[in-house]
Amino acid sequence: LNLVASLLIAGGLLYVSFAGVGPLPPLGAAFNPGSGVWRAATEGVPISSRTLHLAGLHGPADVAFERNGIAHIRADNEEDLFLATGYVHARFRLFQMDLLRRQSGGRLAEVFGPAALPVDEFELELGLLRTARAEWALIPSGSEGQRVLMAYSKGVNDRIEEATRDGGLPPAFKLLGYQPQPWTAIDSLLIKGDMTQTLDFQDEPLTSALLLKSLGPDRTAQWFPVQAPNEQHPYAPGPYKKDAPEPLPVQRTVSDATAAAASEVLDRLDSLPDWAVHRSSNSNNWAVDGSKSVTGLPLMAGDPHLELTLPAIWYQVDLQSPTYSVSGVTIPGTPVVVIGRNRHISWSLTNVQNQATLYYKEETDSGRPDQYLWNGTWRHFDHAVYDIPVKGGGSTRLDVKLSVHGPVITRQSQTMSVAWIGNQPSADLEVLLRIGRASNYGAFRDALRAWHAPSQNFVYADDAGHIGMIGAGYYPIVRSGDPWLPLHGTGESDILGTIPFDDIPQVYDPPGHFVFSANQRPVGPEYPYYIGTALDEFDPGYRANRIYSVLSGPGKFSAGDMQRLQNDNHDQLAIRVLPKLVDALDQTRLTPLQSRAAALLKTWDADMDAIWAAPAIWWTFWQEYRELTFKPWWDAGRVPVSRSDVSGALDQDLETWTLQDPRNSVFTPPGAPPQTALDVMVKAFGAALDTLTRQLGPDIGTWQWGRIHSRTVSSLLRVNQLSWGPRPASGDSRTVNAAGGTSGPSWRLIVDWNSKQALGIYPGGQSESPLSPWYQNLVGVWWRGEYLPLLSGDEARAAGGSVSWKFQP
Amino acid sequence: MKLPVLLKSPARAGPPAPVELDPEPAVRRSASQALTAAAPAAIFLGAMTAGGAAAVGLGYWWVTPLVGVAIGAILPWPRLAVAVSGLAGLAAWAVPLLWLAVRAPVGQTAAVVAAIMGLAGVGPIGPLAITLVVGILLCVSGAWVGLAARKFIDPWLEKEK
Repeated sequence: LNLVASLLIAGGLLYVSFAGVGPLPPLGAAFNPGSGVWRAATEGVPISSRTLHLAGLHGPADVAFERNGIAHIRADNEEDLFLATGYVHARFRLFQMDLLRRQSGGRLAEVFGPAALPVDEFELELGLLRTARAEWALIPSGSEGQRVLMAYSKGVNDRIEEATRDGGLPPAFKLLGYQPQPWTAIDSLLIKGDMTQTLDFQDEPLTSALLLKSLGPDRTAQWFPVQAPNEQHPYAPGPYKKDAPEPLPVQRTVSDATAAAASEVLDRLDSLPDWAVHRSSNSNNWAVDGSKSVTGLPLMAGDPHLELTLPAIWYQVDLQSPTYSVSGVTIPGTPVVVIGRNRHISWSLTNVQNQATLYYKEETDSGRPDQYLWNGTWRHFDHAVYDIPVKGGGSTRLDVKLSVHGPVITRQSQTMSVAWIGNQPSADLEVLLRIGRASNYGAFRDALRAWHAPSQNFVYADDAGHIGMIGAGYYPIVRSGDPWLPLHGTGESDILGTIPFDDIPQVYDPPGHFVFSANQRPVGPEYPYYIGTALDEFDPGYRANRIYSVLSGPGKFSAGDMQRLQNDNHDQLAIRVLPKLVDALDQTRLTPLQSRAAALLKTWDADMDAIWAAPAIWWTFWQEYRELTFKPWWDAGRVPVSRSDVSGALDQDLETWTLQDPRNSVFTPPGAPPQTALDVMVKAFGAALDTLTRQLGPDIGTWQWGRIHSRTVSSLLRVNQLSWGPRPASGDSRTVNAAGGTSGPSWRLIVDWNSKQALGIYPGGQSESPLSPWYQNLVGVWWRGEYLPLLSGDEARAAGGSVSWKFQP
Repeated sequence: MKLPVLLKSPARAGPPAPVELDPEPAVRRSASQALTAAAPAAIFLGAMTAGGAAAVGLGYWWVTPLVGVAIGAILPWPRLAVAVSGLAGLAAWAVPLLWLAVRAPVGQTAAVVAAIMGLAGVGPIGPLAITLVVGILLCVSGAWVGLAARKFIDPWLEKEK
């Protein structure tokens, strides 16, 4: 009995040590000092020069690391170059890469357990995995795209094998008790799809349906129009090639069933992580040509705004082979430079924000199970069946119904399917390869013909003095119906096609001598195609207007001016509205506290500096002003949409009415005595001071903006101790230096085509290991608004403190 | 290796030996014999522990319970076997950790692991404690198996003798 008991206990302990139980990691495997989590301590030691043997290499390759971790990879041919890139990515970002492919491929529950199952189910329904497989199938055998993806995968797998062999897997793998599966080309395509989802999967048609149902057709049309009512500056102002289409009739009603379906889907989307749905605006980019540059040749700047994480979404590289010579940032898990420069051209991206997602109400009949009506015929739904492995619980079967429009994403209410451009195969990696090799605008533009999703504004500048901007991507055109609402799935509202490439927003060497985008509507009201509404798809235009006001001014610009503009904290909405507020306060009897606050606003130049009180007063005032104006209408209509979800559209309305129509009926709540904008502003001002007094105390001198506004660079695992910040921060969501809480400029790039020098910085570090000196070493540089030069490989190798790895076959 | 005394537990050594008329010389003899016999046993145990530490340092952590089994099989006294195996387990896991600490930031690593595990409140001591406790438990559980197995080993050894 003693022996049996001892064997049982020892066996149980060994089992737990090997496999883990419940939330417990495999204790022996995870915690032993030889190959467990402690092995990560070696990441805390700076790397040293060495020689490595990589399976699959055709010849020698090498990587030189600058003192700050920036990698310069060099090989004699492209396959070896991308193989080495795969190895380097995996060496420093393997867990992040695995997490990204699991996230988009619906395999999170396999390692995180049942809590992650809803995310997996949604991702598999949405179809990133189906799209990635379709894209892989479409890449011709033996083509360059296939060879690059295969070589990259080999490099990643070289590292996975090495780390598995020597116990060097990142600690998260050990604590979660799993080993990474071999990398495949489809994994790289999945990660590309993940970015498309973050940037282009939208829920606005569902929100519009609920607004229409609750606010009624007139107010919905007035408050959420197709064309924003405020002053904006499109980068492609026309003239355009086609006549404007006939205006579409406004749909007057939304059925109860559609509203219920919209609510169901929105509830599902609300329960998903932030990255699953595109909800905010992203990014700035611009270029000036030689006539506006102190150097006589173009200057280009770009800063994509994304969720800021440690490790960052970017890994900075300089890739050199005889046929591919590009510096910039890559996304770990994908082989090519997304934003950067080569010897002749440079480019950067912002999100177009056009409507990329359409919802279809499928006509079904309880007498015809599993069928839907389309083009007069009852068709069976297609099905995609997935077995989702769940940690500690076997697997769960998911049956995804597919109509001709896309996957069905409702479960209880009206059958609704979704068509979004991310489900269209898009040869993005091949496009970026071609861009990397392009040496002029023609080649650059030609490459972008094959870019379908996510739709992006590519800014361009070159060493020959040219600048341009192209809003590349699919812009779906429907046969009939209101695309900003759920459409009929019976065929009459199907997607006819996309706007032809020659007609998409684009501009080349414009007469103003500069191009710019900041997610504003890229075209003017005369543009002959529908591309989206003002309902939070396009940015309200404040960042774009600020950039426009600076670049359209007199004088010439230097790289330093570009830096200052990227870090600019002036709130353009404040610049416009503040005079009205000050006027209103001048006409009002104020308390001593209000007088002091008003005096601060009068001398304030709309710079959202963290150390001043005026930005806190302004920001809080505007929140209160929006609330006092719209909340009564929301309450009266029982609107089931959060005002913060549509705040961009409401801000443009409020700005416009304040400046141009202060007697608009919106300022008079239902059933209340008449009010004007000035009345509401004064009330909002008082309410703002009450709020700040409660929040920050009675001493207005201590109301620094930084006390209520901070920035955080969160760890990918959402562990506070591994995050950077929160720190009191300047700027706001409307400033060029976009400063949301956890999102913002994820990479800043400036290219000067006279000196051929480039500067860049991202908030993060090259290594995902919190122990590495390269975990967050770049955040401080970014935080101070400083940059690092993008060195050439030779410069990096010559610089002191660099380390080299030589790769041998 | 010949371990004539320690391999036999007094309680399990078969029929009692005939009573000596003069016990004192016998006592002196057995103490001396025991000391002589204990030296190779101690060396053996030390070697096992060192081997265990080396194996753990190389990532073969599952050697730890085997070290415990050997200790349990060698030491006839359960309390001593448990204590020695606990110390051996501790040493087998602590020594490689200390060796690593000489070259790399183990304390920082502990803090990071604690944060990832949601044990930030406990601090670096949490993962360190888990590590050492796992080493001890694995070795002690092995020793228990070794001790229990003696019931089957001893008769076999007697027969061999």
